[in-house]
Amino acid sequence: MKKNYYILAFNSTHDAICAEKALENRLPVQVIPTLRVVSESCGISLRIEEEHFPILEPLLQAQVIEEGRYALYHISPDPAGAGLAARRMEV
Amino acid sequence: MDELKLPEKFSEYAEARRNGFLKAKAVKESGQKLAGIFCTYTPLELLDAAGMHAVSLCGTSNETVADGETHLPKNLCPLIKSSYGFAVSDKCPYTYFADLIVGESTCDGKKKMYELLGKLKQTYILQLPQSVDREYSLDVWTQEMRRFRAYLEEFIQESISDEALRKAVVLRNRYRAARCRLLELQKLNPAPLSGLLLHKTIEGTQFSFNVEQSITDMNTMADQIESEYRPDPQAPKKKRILVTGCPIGGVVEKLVAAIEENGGQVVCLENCGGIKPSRIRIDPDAPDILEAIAAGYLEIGCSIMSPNLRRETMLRQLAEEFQVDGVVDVILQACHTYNIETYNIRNLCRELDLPYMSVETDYSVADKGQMNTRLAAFIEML
Repeated sequence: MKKNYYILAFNSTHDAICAEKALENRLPVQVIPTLRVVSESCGISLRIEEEHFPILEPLLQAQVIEEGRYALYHISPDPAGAGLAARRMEV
Repeated sequence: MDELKLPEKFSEYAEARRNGFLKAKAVKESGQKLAGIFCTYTPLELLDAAGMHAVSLCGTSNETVADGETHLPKNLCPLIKSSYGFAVSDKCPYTYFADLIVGESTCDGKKKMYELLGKLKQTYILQLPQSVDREYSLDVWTQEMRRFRAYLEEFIQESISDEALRKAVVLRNRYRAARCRLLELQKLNPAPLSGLLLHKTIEGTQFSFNVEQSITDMNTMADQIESEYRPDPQAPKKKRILVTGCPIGGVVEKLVAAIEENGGQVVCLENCGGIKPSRIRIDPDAPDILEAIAAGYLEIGCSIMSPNLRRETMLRQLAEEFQVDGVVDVILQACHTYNIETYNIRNLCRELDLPYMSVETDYSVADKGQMNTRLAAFIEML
């Protein structure tokens, strides 16, 4: 069964790389090609597994990544098909 | 034809542009250098010999056209606007990771766009001659090769030996031969592959960051297709279409899909993403290796050359080799050189008794329905 996870998506590659640097020593993050279901259009995003969200959430609230520079999505299997569904989340 | 089981590598390469972002990042993190390129005239052998990876930065998405238009005029080709839009909006990881951008003085729009690109990132513009029929054309391009070599040596702070260039020539000849082998499988009648998948696969090899691996994969795919090809004599015959004209990366989904959903099959891609640059062979033992490289790349029959007789010569050959039923000439909006050449290509097709159609389009989906209707009518008529 496919896992649920979170994605931080960006409009610029520079922001994606800066976010990776800001988070990489605090929790496991994986750089992935941006999913087609996500509307932010930089080619790379950060994937954070669901179990690490309790670490991510306070970091986002503390603006470890500058507000407005990213979008947070919850990714889950699409109940209507074989693909993935992305739900935009507010921090 | 029986359902041909395609090698898994095909789906891997079809997604290679997206998945290559992570490879580009890994290349950078390992301390290797990356050059962003745009055109098939770029002498890849020089970049290989300099130990640099080459990656295509040609924009193929409508999404960044508006970003491009913030600095560029609207009445410019979508490839130029999309490419520049990706750079200026920082949406393309390849551009971001590139240490150097290599442009070329092909069309007016591109060469002026590169000047603007040079303000964002270190950019070298290769100066091409305007024709190949002057006695000094080869000399001009060879001089440019020498200048580019010196520039790269300065850039990497190391010398580039003739031996390294000769090795690179051998490697790239093998790469081009493997590309040809895959593209020429479509000479089989019925052709074994959809033109859409073939285009994406060939395009994907530019994002592998491992030329040797791409060669192996292309040859493996070709081996598998050859061994599993079992045409069904009862299957309806599809019309065999040759696609020529502008680079089609940004319109392939709309155009090739419209052909292939309406009873056609793209059997030959003549464009720069297909056969056109793949038949270049360079002599690795030539006395002057840079002159040999220059001569090889001048074989490309692009409309920026005046006159551009090589394109017509190649089209004659391809029409026969691939047993083509019709020719579709693709013009990206505002590409004056290819647009004017439609007159010559139309006449050539008339001479060859081949039905011909030109389509002018851009990266938007606004004309998808219209294109579908026109191509369906064209194929029906064949």
